[in-house]
Amino acid sequence: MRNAIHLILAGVVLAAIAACEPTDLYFADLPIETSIVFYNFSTRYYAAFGLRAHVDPGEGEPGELEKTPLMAPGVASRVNLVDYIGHACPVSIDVEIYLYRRVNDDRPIGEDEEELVESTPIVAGRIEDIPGPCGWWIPLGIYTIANWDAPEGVARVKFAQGSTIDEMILGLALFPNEDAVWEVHGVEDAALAADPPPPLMEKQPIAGRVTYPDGTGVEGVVVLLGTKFRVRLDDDDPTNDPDSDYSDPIDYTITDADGAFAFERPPGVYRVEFFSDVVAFRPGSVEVESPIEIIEILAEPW
Amino acid sequence: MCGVNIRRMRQHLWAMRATTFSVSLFMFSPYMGCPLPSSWDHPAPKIWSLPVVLLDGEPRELDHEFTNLGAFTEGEVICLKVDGDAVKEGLILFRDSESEVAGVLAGGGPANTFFDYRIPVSGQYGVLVLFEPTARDVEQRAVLTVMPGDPDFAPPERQWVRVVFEPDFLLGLAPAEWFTDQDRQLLSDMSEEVKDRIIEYLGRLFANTPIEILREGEVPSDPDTPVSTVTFVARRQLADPTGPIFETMYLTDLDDEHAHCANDRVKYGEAEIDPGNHVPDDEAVVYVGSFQGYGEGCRSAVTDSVNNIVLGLAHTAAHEVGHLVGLYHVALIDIMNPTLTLAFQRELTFQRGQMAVEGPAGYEVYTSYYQDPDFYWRANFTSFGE
Repeated sequence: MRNAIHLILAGVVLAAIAACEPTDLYFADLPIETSIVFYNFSTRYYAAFGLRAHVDPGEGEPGELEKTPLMAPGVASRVNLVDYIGHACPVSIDVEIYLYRRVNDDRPIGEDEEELVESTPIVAGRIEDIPGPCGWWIPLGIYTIANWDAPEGVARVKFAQGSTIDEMILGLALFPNEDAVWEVHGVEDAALAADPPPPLMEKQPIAGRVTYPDGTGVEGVVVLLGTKFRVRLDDDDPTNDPDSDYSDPIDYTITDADGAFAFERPPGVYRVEFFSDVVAFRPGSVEVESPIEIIEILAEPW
Repeated sequence: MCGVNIRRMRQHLWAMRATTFSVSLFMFSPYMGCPLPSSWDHPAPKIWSLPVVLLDGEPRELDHEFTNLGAFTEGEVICLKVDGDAVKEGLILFRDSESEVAGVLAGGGPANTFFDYRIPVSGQYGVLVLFEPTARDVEQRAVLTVMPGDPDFAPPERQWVRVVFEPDFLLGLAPAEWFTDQDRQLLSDMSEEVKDRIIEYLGRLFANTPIEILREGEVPSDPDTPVSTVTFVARRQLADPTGPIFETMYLTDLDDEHAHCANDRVKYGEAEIDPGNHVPDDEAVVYVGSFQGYGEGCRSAVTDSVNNIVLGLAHTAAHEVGHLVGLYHVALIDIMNPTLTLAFQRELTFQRGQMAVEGPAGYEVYTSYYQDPDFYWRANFTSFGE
């Protein structure tokens, strides 16, 4: 009887093991390709990120982290992961954050041609083994990593906001704060601050026209550019507003005789705002992700 | 093997919006109680090592959704047909690298009809069978016939597409019950400007492609050349609420603040995918009214500015034109991604990506099959990439 029970148990175990094997290895698939968007939603500090697929200790060499260019406030950097780190959809990732103070912090960014930053970061930190785009059952096609606005010397980094990965991070209590953000205070490891800041991200156009409904251009309109920032998740507390908004203008220009205007800024999330004493606008501002060259604003006489 | 349904190569699917699907997949997974399967831990199918079929004109029942046709020389013409009650279309894939496991879309044709295909680049080719998304597994049977084709066959030089605007198309954004007469007059006044901007933007999107955009009244350089049409109509197109999810979408789920807004399922545009571009005068529609939002106080971001109107409508038109010449959806954000993007409006492009094809529960990403518009233009039009 005992032997029979053992036999039955062995059979069950074997069946369970067999059930755990894929039915036909030949008919599996390539990993799905996903992308990451790095955002710098700080109002003042320039940011750079490092990224690599996480490798558990003893399972191989993790390799170097791939660094982004230096990102001004508002800047967004979109990368296809297979091109960027050679891994289409990592289950887990290692991330670095670096924040730099501007040398000419008293000038609007648009008037600071070289946009120099100090040679050492005021914040530098690394975190390992964060759930990546394939960290959950259904891959996350676009995974966001955003540096939020925070007091000097602090970085607050939000992973995959509003997604299943975000819920997973919350559920795992990886970051014990209300917004479930990774907080870095100062330079956590001097070795991280050894490298100079990466080069600035390349500039691209933010351009368009202000016209009357018949297509005629409106000359002399002042066009202001602000950058997206976020401090925290949207909450119901009016005393700490805004939770997110657009910055004071970082640059301005004036429309030409054809109503055309253009800025050159790194790709990012911007508010473009329009002012004039002689015409009204519909609308008075637009929120765009650049590069974009077809911003169309309609003007009407007051 | 005769009488056996097609074996699916995709064990693991990504239903892009269908959470319920993922739940049911998990619940009925044979892996339940075992470590979660991770497809990238397993070898991908070596599709280019499958046995090569002969070009002998003999119908062959297929064992797999992919069939290896073998190597060809540039300029050769093959003739093929994929038969089957549930077959939707047959796609031609090219092995564009040394990869054993991935193919890139090179052409295609409708089901149950012979069509010719000229080999655009020397290399290895295969056929992927797509079934109707509603077809059950047991219905997924296909018979392939391949033979040498008409050596004089050549694909068209280019595809002309005329952009047509229904009168008052822009008023679709501002129904009289929610908008003031002044708002509607303004939209009416600026419609010519919006038309110009849409045409201009489409021209830019299709620059350096074999697709030529025509305004209303314009004729191609060869007036006898067939022309496809994309028409902007004012109406808001409601979708069948019980229809497949991939035909429709909600703008977003409604929060408490917007609970009073109409949460209809609407179609933003419509076009039949024409694999391999065999129909040179097919038609697509953009439903301008579908962009209006959900009622008073519930307007969508599309109506916020001329800029958003032009981007939203032109991207949708470009997406439908892509279908008219045979492009499929892709998984990453791109013009051929099926998801409407309203946040942070930006210019999109046609990019290489893994194909996303309609399945029974939403989009399935075919991770081994890529769409690269630059290669597709070259493969299906003689004016491109020579």
